[in-house]
Amino acid sequence: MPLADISLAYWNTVLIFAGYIAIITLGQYVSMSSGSLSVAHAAMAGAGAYTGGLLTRDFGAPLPIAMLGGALVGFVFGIVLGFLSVRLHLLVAGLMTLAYSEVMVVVAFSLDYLGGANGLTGVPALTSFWLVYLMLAVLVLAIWRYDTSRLGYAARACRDDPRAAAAMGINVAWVKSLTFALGAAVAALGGVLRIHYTLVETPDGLGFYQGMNFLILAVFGGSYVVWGAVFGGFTLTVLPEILRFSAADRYILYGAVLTVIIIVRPQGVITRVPLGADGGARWAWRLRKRLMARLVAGGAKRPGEER
Amino acid sequence: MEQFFQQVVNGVMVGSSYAIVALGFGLTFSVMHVLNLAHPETAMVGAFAAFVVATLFTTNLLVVIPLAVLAALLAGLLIERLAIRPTRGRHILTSFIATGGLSIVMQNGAQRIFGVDPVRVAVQVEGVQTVGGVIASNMQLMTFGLAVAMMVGARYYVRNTRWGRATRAVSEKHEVAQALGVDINRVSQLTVGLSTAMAGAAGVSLALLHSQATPFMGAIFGTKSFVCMLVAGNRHIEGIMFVGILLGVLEALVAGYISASLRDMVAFGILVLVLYLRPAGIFGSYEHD
Amino acid sequence: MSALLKVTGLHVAYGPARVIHGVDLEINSGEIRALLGANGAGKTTILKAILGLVRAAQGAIEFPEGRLVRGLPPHKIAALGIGWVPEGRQVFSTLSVYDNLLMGAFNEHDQQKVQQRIEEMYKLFPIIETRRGQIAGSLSGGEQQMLAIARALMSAPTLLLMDEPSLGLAPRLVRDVFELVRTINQRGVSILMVEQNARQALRVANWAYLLEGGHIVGSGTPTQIEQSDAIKRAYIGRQAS
Repeated sequence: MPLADISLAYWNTVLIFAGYIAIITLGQYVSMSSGSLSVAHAAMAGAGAYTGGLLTRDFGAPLPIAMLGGALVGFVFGIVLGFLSVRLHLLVAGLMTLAYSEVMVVVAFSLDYLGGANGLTGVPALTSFWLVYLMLAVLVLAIWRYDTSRLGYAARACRDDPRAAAAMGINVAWVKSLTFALGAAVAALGGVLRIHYTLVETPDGLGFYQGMNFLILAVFGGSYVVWGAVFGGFTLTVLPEILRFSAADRYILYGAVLTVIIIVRPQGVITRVPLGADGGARWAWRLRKRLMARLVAGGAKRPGEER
Repeated sequence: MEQFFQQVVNGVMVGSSYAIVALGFGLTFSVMHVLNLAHPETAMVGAFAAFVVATLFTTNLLVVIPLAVLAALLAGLLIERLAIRPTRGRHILTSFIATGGLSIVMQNGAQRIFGVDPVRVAVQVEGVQTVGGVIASNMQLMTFGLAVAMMVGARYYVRNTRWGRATRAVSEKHEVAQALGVDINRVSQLTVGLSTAMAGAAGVSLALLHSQATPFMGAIFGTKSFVCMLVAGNRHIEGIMFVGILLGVLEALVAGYISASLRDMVAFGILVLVLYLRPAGIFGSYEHD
Repeated sequence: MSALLKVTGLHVAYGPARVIHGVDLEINSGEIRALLGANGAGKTTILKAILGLVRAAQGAIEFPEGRLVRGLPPHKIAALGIGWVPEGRQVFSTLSVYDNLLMGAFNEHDQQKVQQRIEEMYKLFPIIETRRGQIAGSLSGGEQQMLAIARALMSAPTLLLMDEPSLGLAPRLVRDVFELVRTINQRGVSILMVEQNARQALRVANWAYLLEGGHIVGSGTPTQIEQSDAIKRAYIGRQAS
């Protein structure tokens, strides 16, 4: 690929993409902070995008109002879905979110007012680089505060041991639904920013595979600390752009990177545990030791040498 | 009425393929506590193996099917080694992403090798059977038979063999089973191998029925087998088989009587309703940790 | 005389948290030894480290003395002749009683021997024979404990690790279990037993170790241990920190 391709405008686009994807991933992070498993955040972002797009296109609302409206719709969907799935097994709840996304796809697909299969178009371009990064900064700050707030601690208690949390007087159902809805609202906000940049929102952007993608971004980056979500959303968007191969090769490499990294660092790339005390460092050390053993002495092992 | 039975028959034929993919998915999950997202891709591997064998060597089904199943099994063993064994005992999302990464690699790898467009799998089985106006092609019946044989085999293995017993023991309390002398890596290989062999059979069935294979055909099985597994619960093999076939029938009926575009959603809706009324699944539970 | 099991300088850590700090213990052929200590002192962890279920950070585990087993996978260690009766019984509750017994002899390929051992177990535990077709989860707590012991004996081990065999049993059954420990020992199986019920354990053991906060804080014959202050401290004094 010729280098001339990589112009400033091109990188501007990539970075704006990375910005709002990081915002949606932050939403995923907030929803997961109370231990929910969701593949519905693409649909949440989609709901926000459709709402925001309609508000600016048909009602002439300014962008801040559209953002507020989108987030509100995300919140409402989130709270309903949260309450529906709160008493289910983790995976069954995950299936609920999957079903919700598929339903959203069909709804977006069948309503002519929403543009049907062609998607919602004719939305004004209102999103800029600075706006996306301003919102990202504000959200990171807010979520960072959230993590050390009463709600944040309650959420983590629900994630780590719901029974103990309930015994401590935390209303688990309420905390889980509320945090899920807050995360949905953040994702929807990201969706509003997205549609005002891409200028189109199609039904297939709401489906399971897109939703799974945000889950991957959050877990990959590290779902235990706010920077993990930002890192995951950002790098995994920019990375494929840096790897300038054909689309298939790019995804092959992307998949391989995912697999390797999550095995090396099962907590995600960004964790609270400092380097050197965690599994990743130990793994690297073991690998080195193994390689050394193989180089020296032709790989003879005694029991006790390896795990 | 005739049309109704025709839809049911078609549904049963397709559903049996969902069922054996779901069965493998559920087996891997309940034994290793790992979600193998690359599982449906092994069905795709089976389909392409059938394509390669049929194109380059022979269209004899007695050769094509075993080789396709074998290819899926080998792919499964590779997945086991690369992404399941290292993530065993960790949080379920870790295995989810590790195998998800492999699934992306496999889809795009197949696309790289075979192209985006469907390839033609030129294996023909002639003839149809007609009973009271309801038609089933011999091809359909054969793939149905294959699915049933796979299920019976899996059931026999789990219930009546020494390693099957070890598999059930590991599924329940893996530490105790290990301390009694069970090599857990062996169980992992056997379980994933068996599961992906079944997926391979489903993949080759689909390739034969539609005479084609595409790199992204695994996705057809992906969500559906996940749904089947959760709805049935992971206690009984028969339960998953039943739900798989039921899903096939529901889809066929909705597509036949209401609308093809609503097919996925209505089936989904009914299944979620069931799940909401019985959160542990119809036939069993998810108690594990 | 060389020991049947010898553990030297065992360290175990869960992530950054160290739980066992340099434990030494050994057991000779034909003995019953008890490992006593309060909840959370690390008793179960030591057993799991011996079995290979928990990775030891440091130290040597020899079975018998001279053969290093640390680092072997659990199924290989089991094959050397170590049986385990896990804490809280842990029978395979969805398998039949008979299948549970078969699992105990997983690596015995001689079917005749397996059947012979099952007969022996039926003799030792008549209640199990009457329940053989039942699902193990449907047994009472006491019956499950018997089954867990029988399952461990099915592999004809030379060393049996028993983790809280009396936990959660009715007082009468507790006595039965300790009686059973003696019977098993008389058949030539050495036993390392982890117990909170110190008084009963000291009655059957010939040697005991006291564990506190991941350290061995005392060891000796039952009489010595009973008279030492260490035992009071281990159970009543500072709880495992």
